[in-house]
Amino acid sequence: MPGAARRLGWGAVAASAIVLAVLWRLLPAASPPLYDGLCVQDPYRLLDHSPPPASATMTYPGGSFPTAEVLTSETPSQAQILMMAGTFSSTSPITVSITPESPPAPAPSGLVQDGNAYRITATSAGQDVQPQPQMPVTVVLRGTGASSALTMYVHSGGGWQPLRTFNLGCGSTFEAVSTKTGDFGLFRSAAGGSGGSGGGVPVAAIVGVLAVLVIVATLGLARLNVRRRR
Amino acid sequence: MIAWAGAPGRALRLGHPATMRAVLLVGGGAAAAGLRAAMGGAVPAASLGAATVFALVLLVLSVAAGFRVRRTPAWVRAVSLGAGGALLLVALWLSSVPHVPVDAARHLGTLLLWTPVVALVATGEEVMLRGALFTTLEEGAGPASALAVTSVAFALLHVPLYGWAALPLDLAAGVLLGGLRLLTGGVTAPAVAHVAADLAAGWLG
Repeated sequence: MPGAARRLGWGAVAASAIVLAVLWRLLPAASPPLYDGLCVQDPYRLLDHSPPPASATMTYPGGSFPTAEVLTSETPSQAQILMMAGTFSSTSPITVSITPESPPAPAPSGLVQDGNAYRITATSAGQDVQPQPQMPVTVVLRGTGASSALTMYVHSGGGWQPLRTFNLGCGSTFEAVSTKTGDFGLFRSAAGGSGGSGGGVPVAAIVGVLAVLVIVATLGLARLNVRRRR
Repeated sequence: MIAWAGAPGRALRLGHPATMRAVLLVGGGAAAAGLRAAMGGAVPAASLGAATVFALVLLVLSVAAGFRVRRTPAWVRAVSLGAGGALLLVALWLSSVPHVPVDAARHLGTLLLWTPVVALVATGEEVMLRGALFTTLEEGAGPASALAVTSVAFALLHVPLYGWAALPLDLAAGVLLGGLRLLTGGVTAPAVAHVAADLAAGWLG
């Protein structure tokens, strides 16, 4: 039924294009590059090392705050903030800044910091301004690449508070939504190094078992193929 | 054009060779994804070696299942549709997602190193999913089932790299690539779209 298949094909292309457009806008920051993108990364820039990590600042006119992004200039950016239209409200110009900072407090118990802490602020007429209620900002931080299991924290009320964190891109960039600006950092478990398979897990054994499964599947497929050809 | 060279099958049912073939392809693909995650260290998506092994395993599974490359007169249409699919994907991505463009001159060495690997991985995924598995399912259970199963498999294949948050996007991308497969009857169009979109995303940043 080539006609039905063709209709299904066009329908699939059209529907998925609409869904992709909506998803890419709904998920506040970015999603992975398409599927298996190139992993092009500058070496991570640590505070007090050379070259130093970049800062970023953007100023927006007072009044209606636009949909905006501020990001540092590394590849990929080590810190970004994404804001929806109306996130901040002020009649004076609003300046949004990202600055690498020393951690404002020690890491939470059992965790170690991965990369720099970043101070993200919005100021207007010399005063700190916070996002409007129901208008959280999206913060994207890059880790050093030492772990793929990082959690973003915001420093608030004298301590670090965890945020729901998503892994993006090539595995070392992480995104979280925050209802406030402030100091942000990525943390990983002090016990496990990679976070992927956990400490003490025999990776070689896992690889061996999976390789055997691949061989079994390949032989099974080949056998079925030979039978079909007879 | 790349097309399936196997014989037509019958309805999928338990114990039927086509069902066995589909199960072995899905199982083998899952093992390949696990292998990539296990071999890739802390950041599997950034491992060239793990990506290469993953792609080669998918290609071996496909060949074992009977996939063969053959040319057909419709390859120009397939390549054109694939290029159109890639343009659509890249345009949607660029217009929706904020990004910092990659400094291609500064990262030329890395980009050139990654380019054949990304092309190999995308081709391996398409040959296995939209080639061997799609044809098995289409012959046995119809095009809608083939589209649904291969799209879900495509999305799940990426979970070890990008986490569950990426599942909806990869599911939608899988449906789009499956749509191209249905429109052309082969894997050339989805493979062209997938390779070109992945490379564009990498080179554009």
